[in-house]
Amino acid sequence: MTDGTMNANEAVQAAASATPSRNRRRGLARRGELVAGAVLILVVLLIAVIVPLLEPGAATRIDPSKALAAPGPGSLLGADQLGRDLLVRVAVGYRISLSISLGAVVFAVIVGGVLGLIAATAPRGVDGLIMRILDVIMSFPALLLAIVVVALFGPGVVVLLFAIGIVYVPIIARVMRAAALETAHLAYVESARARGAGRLRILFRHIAPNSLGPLIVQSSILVGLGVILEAGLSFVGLGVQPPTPSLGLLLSSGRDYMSTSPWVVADPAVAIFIAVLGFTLIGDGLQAWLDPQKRTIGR
Amino acid sequence: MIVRRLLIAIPILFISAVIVFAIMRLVPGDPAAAILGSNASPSAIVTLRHQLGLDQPITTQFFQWLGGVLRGDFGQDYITSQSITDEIRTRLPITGELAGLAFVVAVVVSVPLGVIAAVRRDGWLDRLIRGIAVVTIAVPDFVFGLVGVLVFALGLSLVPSSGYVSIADGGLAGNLRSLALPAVALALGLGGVLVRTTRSAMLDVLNADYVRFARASGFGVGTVVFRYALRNAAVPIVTVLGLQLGYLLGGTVVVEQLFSLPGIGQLIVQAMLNRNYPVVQASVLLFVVAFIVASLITDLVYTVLNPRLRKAAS
Amino acid sequence: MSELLTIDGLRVRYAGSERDSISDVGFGLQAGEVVGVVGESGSGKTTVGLASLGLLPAGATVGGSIRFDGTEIVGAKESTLRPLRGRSLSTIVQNPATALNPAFSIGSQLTALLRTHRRLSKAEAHREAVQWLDKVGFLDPESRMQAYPHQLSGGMNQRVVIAMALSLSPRLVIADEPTSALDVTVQAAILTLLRSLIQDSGSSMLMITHDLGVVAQMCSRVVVMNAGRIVETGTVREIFTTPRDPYTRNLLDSLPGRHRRGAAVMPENGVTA
Repeated sequence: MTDGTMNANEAVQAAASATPSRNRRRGLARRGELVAGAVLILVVLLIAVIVPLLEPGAATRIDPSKALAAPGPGSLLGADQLGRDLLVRVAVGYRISLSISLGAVVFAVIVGGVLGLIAATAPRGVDGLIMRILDVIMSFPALLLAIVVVALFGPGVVVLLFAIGIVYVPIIARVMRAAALETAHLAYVESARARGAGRLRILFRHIAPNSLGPLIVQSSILVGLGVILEAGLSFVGLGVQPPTPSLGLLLSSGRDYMSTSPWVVADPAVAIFIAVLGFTLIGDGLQAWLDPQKRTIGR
Repeated sequence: MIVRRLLIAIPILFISAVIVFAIMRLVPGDPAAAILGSNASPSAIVTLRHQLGLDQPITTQFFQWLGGVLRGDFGQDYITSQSITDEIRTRLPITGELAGLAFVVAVVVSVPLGVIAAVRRDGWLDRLIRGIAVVTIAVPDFVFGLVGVLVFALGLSLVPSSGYVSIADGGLAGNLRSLALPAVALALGLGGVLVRTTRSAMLDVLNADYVRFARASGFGVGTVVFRYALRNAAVPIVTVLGLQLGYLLGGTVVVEQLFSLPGIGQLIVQAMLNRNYPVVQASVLLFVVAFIVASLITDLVYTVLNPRLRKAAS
Repeated sequence: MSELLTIDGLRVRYAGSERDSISDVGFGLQAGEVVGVVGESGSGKTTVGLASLGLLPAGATVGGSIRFDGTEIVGAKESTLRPLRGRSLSTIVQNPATALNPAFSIGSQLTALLRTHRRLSKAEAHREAVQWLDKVGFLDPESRMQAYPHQLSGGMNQRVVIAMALSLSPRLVIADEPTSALDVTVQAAILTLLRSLIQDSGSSMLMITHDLGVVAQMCSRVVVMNAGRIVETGTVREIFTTPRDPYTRNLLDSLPGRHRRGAAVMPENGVTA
């Protein structure tokens, strides 16, 4: 009988031969990722939704007596240099981040999705033109593109939403177009067309639902990315403006007090981490489930 | 194939220049008025506008600017009235070094880790590596930077918490110490993605017939994995690297701000905050150029790695 | 003459499978013989080949014994098997285009093989490689050394694989469907080449194939497999003229032209011994 232990050689062999039972095991493990991610995001959502309701206005209430209070009873995450409770600030920061990210993705799905579908079902010339323009946009690094948009319209929550959304449009358009092209060639779509179904009808009944898988996976990756982008932009001052709390702003303002009161920086840092990790895990888990052929564009 | 890419790059560069220029001009407000302040007399504003060439038709302005850029002259800084080109010249090497270091660190660490993860698939090492990769992807570089400062600079005093030390001032050691933390922070995000890409590319390759054939021919594991398999896996890895270059360049903006490194990234941010538009214009254009050049290099490497893309030699 | 390869009671079950892939397989191969292992796809013939090389996927359980030139293959450590592979025990695969690494020239793959097993300088290995390319039928072998697999046809690639399999003078060549992926017109040429090279070198060969025509051309003895078991063995002449097992008879009946041309598909002189 062959030896059960694995050395490097056998590992090479093992890697070269995925057997069905292994696949099954991996499938289950991926569900674990999905669940873990979902749990994290649930926590994030709970904090974002509930905490500010419990203490309205606490995010901006200045209380010098509590300045730089350490975490403890009464102030779960501590307070910042102006005495503002950090838990509430983080919660509001979550609200802002999530609104911006989700908004950006929704915007991108609407605009990019439509563009992608058009490109997929349009004649080659139109398709080529659309994709070329999108390519140019995609050739700008994400952060820079967002900065350019902010330069145009000034910083702020709404601008940020559209800035990030614009960055996402070509990505979603690509995914949509690729998925639509794949589906358009499937037999039952061809037969629907042969039966005289109108273009729009085909679009909505057949192509769109099939593109959903990669689209969902891509969207979850992008929401996570959006949190990072927003935090980064706010951190350097080009994003959300004070006094509206943003996780990025919390980081930049807390910087000066980091050495004496690390929680001022640790709180938003961990908050960002949990949120992005959650979305990334969901994205990974969803990908294994909905889109094993990897038709999406990762970060 | 490279020639074709070059030809496509030129219109892209041109369009980018147009876009960058147009955006700056679209910003509301009169730059001359902004420079002189709200108490300036109208005639002073008019004079300044004329000096800055702002009263000419916009297309003339564009081509003047473009002409200058091609000659290496980016115009004048609105605020300091210094030559932007000079400012860029001092800052560019810093950003270049930062990005370069980050790139090297990311590749040198991530690719071997990805290979190991692939070879030891589903083992504890694989899971550990993948777990770390997910974490590094999930945390933005500036957060790492902050944590790093807390631990390594303030805590252990191994590196300075901010500031750039040039080779002239602090020797190679001092220079690297000042860039160590920022480069690693920047490298971590890139590294996470690289590890995952390498692993998945290697898994695909290790499944291939020619790997099995190589083993059947008696080649050792090391040779098979690192020479034969990796060479083929390199193609998708390089592709992803190319895609991530944009992230790397964008990341310098935040990292430089965090560590107070006087590079182009910091320049952009400060210029933006000060409404110093010609500087923003110049630096964004620079970034775009850098990105396009990097993409071209990626393509070049791509054709070297993948013989199928070369014009058949024999 | 002691047997070169002795398989006895071989049993293989792949990971995650409910049944044995092959069971109770046993036969022998003498030095200088060409033995055919014949069966339809799924009969387990490829598994026999993989097992003999020690290249079954991880997780497969193997029972029984495979003795090659005195060494036990089943359960052997990599360190025992590696020196054998490519050198005394080589393989020719079904799909040459995918067996050769697309990123390296055929010349470099051939020289790498030579230098892995023997102490040769780059120049010496290069020369030998060119000689072998010539032997397998390349015109202008020197310039073809730089060619990449995707630049060559299937037949040419297979010739390279054959060169790699034979260049180290192996005692046993395990050929798994060497011509199945090739054009019919090329198949005959490849088989002829293979036969002459084997005869010249005196190597033995285990020819795994589903094609009885190939068996007729190349082998002296045949092992017929079906559903993981051996159903019949014998010399080629025996099998073709007096098949005993109904499965064998079925296989023979499915040969085109058997009834019409009868003797035409009979084996010729076969290979030595």
